[in-house]
Amino acid sequence: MSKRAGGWVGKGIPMREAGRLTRGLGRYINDLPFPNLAHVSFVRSSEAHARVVRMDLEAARAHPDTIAVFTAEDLESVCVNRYWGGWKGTSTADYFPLVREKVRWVGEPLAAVVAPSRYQAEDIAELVEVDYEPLDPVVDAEKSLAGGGDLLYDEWGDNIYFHDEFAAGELDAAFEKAAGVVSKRLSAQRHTGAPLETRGIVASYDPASEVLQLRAPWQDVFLARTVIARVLDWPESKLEVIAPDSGGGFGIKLPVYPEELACTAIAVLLGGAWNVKWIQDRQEDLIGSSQHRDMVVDAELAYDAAGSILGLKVKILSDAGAYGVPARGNTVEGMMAAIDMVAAGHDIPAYGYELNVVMTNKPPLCVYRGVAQPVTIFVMDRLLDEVAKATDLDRVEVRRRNLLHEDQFPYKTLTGGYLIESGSYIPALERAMEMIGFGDFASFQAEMREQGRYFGLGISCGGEALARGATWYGVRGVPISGQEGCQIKIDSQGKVHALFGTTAIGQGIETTLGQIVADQLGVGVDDVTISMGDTSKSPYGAGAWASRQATLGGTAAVMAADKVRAKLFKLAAHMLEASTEDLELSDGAVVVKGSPSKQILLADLAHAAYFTASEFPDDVLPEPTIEETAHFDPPSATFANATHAAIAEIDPNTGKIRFERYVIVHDCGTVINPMIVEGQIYGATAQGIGGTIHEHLVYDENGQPLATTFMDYLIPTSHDIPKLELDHIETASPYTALGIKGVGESGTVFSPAVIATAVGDALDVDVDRLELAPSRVYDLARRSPIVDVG
Amino acid sequence: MEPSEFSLSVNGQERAVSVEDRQLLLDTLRDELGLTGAHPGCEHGVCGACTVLLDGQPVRSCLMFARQAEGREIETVESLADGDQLSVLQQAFVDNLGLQCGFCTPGMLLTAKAFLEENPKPSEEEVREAISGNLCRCTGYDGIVTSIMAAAEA
Repeated sequence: MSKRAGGWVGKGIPMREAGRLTRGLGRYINDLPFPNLAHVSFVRSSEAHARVVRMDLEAARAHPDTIAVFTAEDLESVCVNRYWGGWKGTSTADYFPLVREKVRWVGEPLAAVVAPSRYQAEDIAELVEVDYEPLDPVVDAEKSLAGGGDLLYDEWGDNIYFHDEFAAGELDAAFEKAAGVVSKRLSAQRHTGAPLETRGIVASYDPASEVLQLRAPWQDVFLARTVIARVLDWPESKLEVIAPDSGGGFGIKLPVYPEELACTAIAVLLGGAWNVKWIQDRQEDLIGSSQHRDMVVDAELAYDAAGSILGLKVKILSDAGAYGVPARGNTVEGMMAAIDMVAAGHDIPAYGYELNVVMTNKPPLCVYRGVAQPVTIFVMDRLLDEVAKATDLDRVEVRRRNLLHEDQFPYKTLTGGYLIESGSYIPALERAMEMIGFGDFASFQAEMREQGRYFGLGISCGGEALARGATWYGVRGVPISGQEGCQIKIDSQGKVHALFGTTAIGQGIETTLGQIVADQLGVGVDDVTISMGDTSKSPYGAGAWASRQATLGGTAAVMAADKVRAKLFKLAAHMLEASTEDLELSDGAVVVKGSPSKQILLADLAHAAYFTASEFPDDVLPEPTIEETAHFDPPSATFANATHAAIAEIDPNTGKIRFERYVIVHDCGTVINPMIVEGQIYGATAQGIGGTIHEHLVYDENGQPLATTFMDYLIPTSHDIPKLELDHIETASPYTALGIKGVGESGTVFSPAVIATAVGDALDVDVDRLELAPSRVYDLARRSPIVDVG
Repeated sequence: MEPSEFSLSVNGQERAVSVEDRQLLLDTLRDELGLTGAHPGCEHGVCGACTVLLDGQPVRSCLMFARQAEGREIETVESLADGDQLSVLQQAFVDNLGLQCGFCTPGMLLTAKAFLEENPKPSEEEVREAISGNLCRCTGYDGIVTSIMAAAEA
């Protein structure tokens, strides 16, 4: 599968939706006009762990503005199945749309109030009184693993949701023959994606057709349909899930949450009289959207005298919150850490892990940009820095000796059945070091220290698994597809319409897929209509996660275009009395190569096919339309790689981290649109920086959330994100059309470790936790052997 | 609560509204007047996605009641383009990837518009300062800064 003429792929054209979005013509869920809107407000738990002994709904039900008030019992006739997904080996921790007997995190929805306006619904919700019998909350993962606190699920006998062990290679021998072993306890704090647009849904039900139409900015409309079909025992053919414009996703809008299930059920229970709307507020987001990382890794790495890795052992403790998120469960972060630890572009001959995913009285963990990889990359970078110290090698040389070399591809990883297909691990490292001036840094650092200024150089490098196919979720029992689909129609007017199973969440995916289709069919990018995000129209797909849509959707597009082209050429060859081998698509026509005057326009071919089929023999026009569909599920994953390097100055008196320079050399395979690729890297890096220097979902010992507004949960501002110096390397993937690998998450994966290693280098301290808010950096400075804080 | 009837001057037009006194300007613009360009991002005045101009100055429409805007000139993002013709600032955002999901964009544009009127030839650092009260979760701000600088230079 190769590039075709046209030249759209590789061009930095603007996003096709940008114009209307700058005019305020976004159509986000909260903007869509509906008649007969009913607004939902949820009554939420004030306790982290308690039995509900009484809920008094009388005043709420009696309020003159009330349309209805629902509890879990009321929804049972519609939500007939408990359901979360089926990750093999996990305990059962099903979400109900509304809580029944026991609350397990602060903010869990207990009842739903429906009223004609949100103002009214919120007022009425305040009339509901709830009495609790408190239980001992389990807030800390270590305590949970050790059996402290009351059980979240009495029937389990402990709080362990998932346990797994694995070993491969000569692990014991590796540690026996090692020149040395470095051991570290490394961790990351709990944070979240916080898209600027919160979640929301409008659920509509037509009792005549029994069609349920759900509009919500879900990142995977087909997964949402699967989950709802299973919970409601509803035929997929009568469930239409439509994603309007999305104000950001980052993983947060992948799950189907209790609120969305409740609104769906309420639309059915109200008999179609109302379009049922819920828009999450920011507090509800910060206490009740999925949360992320919250992991402790005890790692031991054995190395030889040359500083090469011989073996790695890790114990991973993942604090997973209180429930299994429908479909993905909340094993995914811990499991991905365990699997991907040795799938990040380092040559690791022996590996063993022990994984414990434990329940706590906090909202469930799910997936956020990069998923576990910011932690696994941090683990590897920190361990390699320790090896460098122990062996007296420089930090770059240690990495050079352990990253995959050109002659090692394809590299079979010890876990996950991955083949790292290609990459530029060493070249990206070398180029980044050249750009940042690694060789000159030590003397600059020493000079600055003389003046009482503390500069550090951070380095993070390696690879990331993207575009995971059925080999990730499917084989683990989870009904999340790895495929992506594309249908291309040349309509009866000869215009190109490409439909995808993908979802647009601000990544410019409509533009990049349009560039691919335009090149494949020899038309201008503006001549291609792109549609996606609607289960009733789109071909099957799996949406926005794992940086997968351009890679897999793009491959499906090339496959569908191949079929369309074959059909067009057969017809055109007949009409032009030419051989199909002599034809090409160019400027909206099928042209005889070398004879540009011999051509037939797509419009004429379409007219011939749609309206004059009887004129053609069956072998020329087997079917009287030009519509072709293709689906692609990759053999394993694609692997992109990058090196981030930053020089940061630490102010020991304020704990502020100031980036002097920040360099990124990345390789995401073929670049479809350099402007969009750079935008993805910028945005993802900003989130990695925010998730390291500011964002922390703090819970007190009772499980009460302390970061519930943007005053406490700080999103990075324009002052926090430095100017990035970017360079690209393009190493094609042999698995995908055009050699695309994927780019959405890279920045988030590598930026946390860069900051941590920069701070460590600046202050000459061990930075073992990816939580570097000013107060922590301030404390680290007090532990520094080189900082004189007076 | 009984609604009050009054009028608001929005994008150069007098618009009659009938809303409760407690209703926010943001909700009034969106729900009563169909101007959905201003977005609720946090509803506590931090994120800036609901920014509109009040007598030319950026304000958080989630932090004021509609009634408080009576007699003032309100400008929303819908006023920036001339039909299909984007303003210089809007076009700069399109050309320089000053947006991804677009949710913060109306607030960014209005903040930038007021800023450029006061400071038509800013430095990059001044632009960063000017937009530091508007959160963007997608772009890392670079595309936005570049766009505003490009508009200033156009």
